[in-house]
Amino acid sequence: MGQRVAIIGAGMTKFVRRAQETGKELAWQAAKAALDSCGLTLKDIDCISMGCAPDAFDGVHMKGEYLSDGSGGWRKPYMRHFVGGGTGVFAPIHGWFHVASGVFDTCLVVCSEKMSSCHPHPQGAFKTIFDHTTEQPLNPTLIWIFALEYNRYMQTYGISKRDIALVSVKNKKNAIDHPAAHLPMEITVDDVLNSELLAWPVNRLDISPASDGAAAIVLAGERTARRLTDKPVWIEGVGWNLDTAYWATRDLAYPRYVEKAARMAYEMAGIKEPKKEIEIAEPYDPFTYKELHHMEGLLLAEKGEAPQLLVDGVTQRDGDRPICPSGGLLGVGNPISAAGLMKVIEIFLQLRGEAGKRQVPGNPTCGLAQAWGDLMQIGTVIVLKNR
Amino acid sequence: MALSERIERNVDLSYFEGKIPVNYVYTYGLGLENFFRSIKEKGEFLASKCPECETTYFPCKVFCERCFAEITNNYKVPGTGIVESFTVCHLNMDGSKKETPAVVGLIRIDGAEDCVFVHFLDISPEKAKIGMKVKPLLKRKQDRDGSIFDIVGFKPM
Amino acid sequence: MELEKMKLGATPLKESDLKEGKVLSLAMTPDIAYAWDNGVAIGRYLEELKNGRIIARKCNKCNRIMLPPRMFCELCWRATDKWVYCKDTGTVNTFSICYINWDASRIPKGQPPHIPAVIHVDGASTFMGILHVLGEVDPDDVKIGMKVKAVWKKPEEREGSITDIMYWKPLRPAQGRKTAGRR
Repeated sequence: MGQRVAIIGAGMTKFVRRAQETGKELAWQAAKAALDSCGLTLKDIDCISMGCAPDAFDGVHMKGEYLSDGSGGWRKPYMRHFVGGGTGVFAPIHGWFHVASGVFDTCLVVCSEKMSSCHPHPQGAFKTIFDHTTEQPLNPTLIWIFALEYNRYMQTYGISKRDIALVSVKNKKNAIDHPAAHLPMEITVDDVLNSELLAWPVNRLDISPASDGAAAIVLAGERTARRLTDKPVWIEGVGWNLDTAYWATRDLAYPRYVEKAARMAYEMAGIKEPKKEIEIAEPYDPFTYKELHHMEGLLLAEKGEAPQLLVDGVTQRDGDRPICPSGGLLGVGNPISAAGLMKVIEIFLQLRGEAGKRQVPGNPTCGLAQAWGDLMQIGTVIVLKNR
Repeated sequence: MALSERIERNVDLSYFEGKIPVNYVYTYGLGLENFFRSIKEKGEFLASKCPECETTYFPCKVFCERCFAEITNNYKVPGTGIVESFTVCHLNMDGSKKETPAVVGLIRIDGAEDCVFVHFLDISPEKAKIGMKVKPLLKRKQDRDGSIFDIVGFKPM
Repeated sequence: MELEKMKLGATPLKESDLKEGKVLSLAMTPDIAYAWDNGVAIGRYLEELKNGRIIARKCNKCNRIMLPPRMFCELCWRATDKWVYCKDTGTVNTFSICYINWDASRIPKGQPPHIPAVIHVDGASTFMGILHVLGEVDPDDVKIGMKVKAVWKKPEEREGSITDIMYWKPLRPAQGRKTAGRR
């Protein structure tokens, strides 16, 4: 490997249901904030890595090209990457390739999403991620796939909806302390269970909101990072992995592809006992049960046991292993790629002790962010350390 | 490695038809909101200049793509310009023939020379020339709705 | 740096801000239609559905009988070997009871919910599930592990589509099983 890579700056916009800004303007707001946070200008940036979700949400074909000016891509090596919902955590991995290889010394990583362009609701675009011939004629909604997985997960391990609903309560409450949050709320388990039933077992408050927003980070090689900041956060492990394209043939109770991605990242980071060494994590939580599903795939809980950790308070911000201290997608919002990068930013801030009211106690030194996507089959994992 | 079966007769080929059922509502965003509102309400064209690198933009923008500086000041330009290039378009979107060919121009705007603007030229194809001076033709105020077609096109000066 | 000390962008709008023209916006509906080639495997799959049969494809290396059929095995990364008919019965691997349509509009009160399910079809390998819907069943009686049978359109109404199977219904009347249902 060429060189060690650190995150040295970060920025984001608020996450909102509907922003007036165009996707480019959102990208610029986040990217500019990230540069300002570490005292750099666009001149100091060697290359750009841009991440965004399917073009159909923004309604802009070739969105990578469209967003290039707002992402700082003018006359620079610029590349868009895309792995569906996994994009936001793939973003720092993609940026890491550029810098770790030694080809570039600094990289601006930008994710921007404008889900509100899709009217009346992004579900129309989600329908078309199903197979056009063997599945779309059944008129599926995206929620089907989650509901089916959720049900299988409950059945396999004998978990109740009540326990899973607690994820929403925790994350929406955590989001109250996040200045960019779209849907921070103080709610109870009964509020979740009594919210509109969309596709049993999924209620409305089990689902993260579709949001507009952008996020950005600045990466630098080791020497530059040490010169520019006394608090670099190192990218110590990266991993990603895909399961079969035939989603209905997967083991729906356990995300094996997430485990494979995690093992890749752990090996690179020298992590032997994730349950002890990963002190803080931001697993992907577009739906309540996914946080638990992913904790198990990430080997942070035994199979079927993540709900118990939640019930016991272990995953609260002041618990032994805080999970989604940001408020996650359920609380901060879900502008797809930007939401994943928001998770990376949260770990970055937590490891620097700069997470404000969200700061977890105990000066954590090692954290993880994870996202999931494509047709519900990719896991993307990044392990960060502050020393 | 060859596949073990292939379709030998083209009459055996089959396909499945479908559509992507989406509608969009795009907000104009901060930059274009100013630009099109100014045309709609005052009939005035706004450009901007980056406070740091002095790059000019038409339509006006809220950030400079070259140096990332925030742009907070816009200024009026007459909307006149010079035809940088043009093309004559004979077909409609569906491939059918247009009754009258349309001339589409790239116009370098006076006072914001770092950008070119695309619009129709109100001129017969044989008269269009690169380098010709043009000015914008606006709809009547009561007919303007804030869209790109508040500018009917550009005509020779 | 703390997010709390940064100026965070994004100007929130209400839907009415667009409708009432407080900010400018542009509506657009792309008009694009597709004809997706079926290829050999899915072509035959659809053709057999028209005949009222479910056909799968077998790989002789891993011995999986795969649904939907495919001309190459994605695990062994080689061409598959032969066609195998499946039964039109199967087992519910998981299901949902869905009160919204594909566009997120609500199914009107009084109309039955959709019951999507992953069905493991008899005759295909274990875990070869397909997405389909259940019918002729009270939503509260649906159970994981329930045996189901395809209900076909009349032969003259079939068109070579996955919807030639209208839905799957319980093979036997509801019975007390030790599996989780909604009840």
